[in-house]
Amino acid sequence: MMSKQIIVLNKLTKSYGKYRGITNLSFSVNEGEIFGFIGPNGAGKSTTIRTLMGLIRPTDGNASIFGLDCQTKASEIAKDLGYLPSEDSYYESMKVRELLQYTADLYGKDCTLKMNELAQRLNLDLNRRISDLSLGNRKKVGIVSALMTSPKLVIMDEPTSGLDPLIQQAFYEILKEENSRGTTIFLSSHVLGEVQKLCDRAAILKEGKLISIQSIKELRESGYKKVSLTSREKISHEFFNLPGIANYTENAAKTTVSFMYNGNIKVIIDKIQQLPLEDVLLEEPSLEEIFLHYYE
Amino acid sequence: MTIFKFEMKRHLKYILGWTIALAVCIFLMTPVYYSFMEAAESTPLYDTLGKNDFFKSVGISMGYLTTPLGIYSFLTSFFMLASGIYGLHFGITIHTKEFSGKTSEYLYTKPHTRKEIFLAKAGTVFAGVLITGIAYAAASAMTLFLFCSKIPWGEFFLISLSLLWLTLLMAAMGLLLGIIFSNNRNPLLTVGLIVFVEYCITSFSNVIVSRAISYLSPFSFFSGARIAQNGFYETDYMICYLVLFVLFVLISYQHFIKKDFRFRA
Repeated sequence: MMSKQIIVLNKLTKSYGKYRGITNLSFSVNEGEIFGFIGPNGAGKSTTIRTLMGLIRPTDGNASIFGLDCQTKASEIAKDLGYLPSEDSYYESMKVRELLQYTADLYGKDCTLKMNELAQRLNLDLNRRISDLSLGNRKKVGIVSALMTSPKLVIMDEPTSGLDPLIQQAFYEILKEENSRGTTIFLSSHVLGEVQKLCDRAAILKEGKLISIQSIKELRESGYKKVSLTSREKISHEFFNLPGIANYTENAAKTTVSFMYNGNIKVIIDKIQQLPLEDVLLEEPSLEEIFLHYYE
Repeated sequence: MTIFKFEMKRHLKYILGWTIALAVCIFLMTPVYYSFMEAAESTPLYDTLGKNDFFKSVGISMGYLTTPLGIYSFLTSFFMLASGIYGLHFGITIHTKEFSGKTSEYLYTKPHTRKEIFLAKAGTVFAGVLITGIAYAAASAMTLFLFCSKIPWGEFFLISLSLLWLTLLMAAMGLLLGIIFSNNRNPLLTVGLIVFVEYCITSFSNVIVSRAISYLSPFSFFSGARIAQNGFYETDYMICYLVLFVLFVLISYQHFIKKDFRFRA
C-alpha cells in the first residue's frame, strides 16, 4: 500500500530576476517519513521552504501540503504544521515563556505540558528574556515553538546550527520520538551527518535544481567505495585511469592515493593487486564524500 | 484577536507616550499662548506679527488669532505636524519592525490568514491613533473650559478632531508605505521627510493662495480659520480625504495579501 503524500512539489519555480531561486522542483514527502533536504548555502533550500510556507509566491509550478495548496491555504495548513526557520529571531523584549505562550495562543491550544517537557529536555530557561539568549538558546526556543503544538508535520530549516553536541543529541531523540508518533519531518540541512542519522530519504539540491532524490540507504549503497592505498613505489596518475573513479587525490610523493570508485569491484581489486602495496583500505564513503561527488 | 491584543500590548508604551505628550502639551500651551496674545494685543509686536506671511502660511488670520479658539487652532496646526509624524511612523513601523526584527517567519507562518494579520495590524494602528486623538480632544476641551471663556464648542470639536482625522490619514499612508517598503531600515528619516514636504506644500499653497496645490497635502484639509468661517469641514477636501483614506487602506490590503515577504539576512 502506498503511503499518503504529505508534501507535494510540482515543477515549483521561484526566480528573483537576475538572482537564482529554484527551478522546476518536483518531489513528494510521504506520511511518517523523515525527509532530508540537502544542499550547500545558497542552493535554494530556504527559498523552497518559504514557498511551501506561503511566505513567497512561486513564479511557476505549485506545491501542496496535506493536499491543500500552499499559497491559498497557508493558514489552514499551518494548523497542523510546526515550522522552525533558519533565522531564529523572535520578539526581543519578551521572555521565552511569554513568546511560547503567544505561540500557543496563535494556535489556540494549551501546550503548557509539552512546552515544559521540551524546555526541560533541551535545557532551556523559560524565564529568560529573548534578547539575553545566545544563538543556541534561540534555536532551542524555535524548536520548542515548532514542536509544542504536536503538529502532524514539522518543517525545519537548518535546525541544529548553534546547538552544542549534547543538545543536538537530545534534539535528535525528540525528533525520532515525534516521528514514531506519526509526525512527518522535513529537515533541511547542510550538515550531512544529521541527515544520515535521522532521515529515510533525502533530496539533493544544487544551484536551485534537484539533482537527486534517494533513500539514505540507497545513497550510501550507490556502489561508491572509498579506496585509500599506500604503495612502496610511486603510483602514476594514469595507473588508475579507469571509468568510475572520482575525487582522485595523491600525496606529494605519489605513494599514497585515495579516490572514490563506482564500478566492478573485481576490476579495481585486480588493478590494486598489481601494486607493491604497503596498506590498503576499502570502505563505505561517508555521506559528505558522496555529497561532494554530486557537487563536482 | 490574538494578534491584535499582542500588537496593542507591544505598542502600548509607544501609544501612551505620544498620547500623553500631545495631551499635556496642548493642555499647558493653550492658556500660556492665549495669555501672551492677550498681553501683546496693543503692542507694535502684535501689529508686526499680523502683517507677517507666517500666519498666512499656517492658515490662521490675525483676527482669528485673538480669540481662544484661534490660538487653539494655531497650536493645533503645529501639533498636527507631530501627530502626522506619529501616525505615519506608527503605520510604517508596524510592518517594517517584522523585517528589521527578523520576526516575519515567526508571525506569518502561524495559523492566521494574511487578511487577519493585516486587520490586526491596521486595527492596532487605528486604535492607537484613536486613543491619541480622543485624549488630545479631551485635554483641549479641559484647558479651554478651565482657562478660557466663550468657546464655540461645535467649532472647537471640529478643529480638535481634525488632528485625529489627519493622524488617521497619515497612519493609512504609513501602512501602505510599510507594506510596500517593508525592508525600510530608517523609517524615521522617511517619516520626517514626508511630513516636512507635506507641511511645506500646505504652507506654500496658503501663501500663494493655490487650492490646486493644497490638495497635494493632507495638512491643507483641516484649516482652523476655514472651519470657523464655514462652520464645518470643506466638502471638496472631505471627498479628497475619504478617497485617499480608502485608497491607502485598499491598496495596502491588496499588496499585503499578494506580496512576497522579505527577510533580513
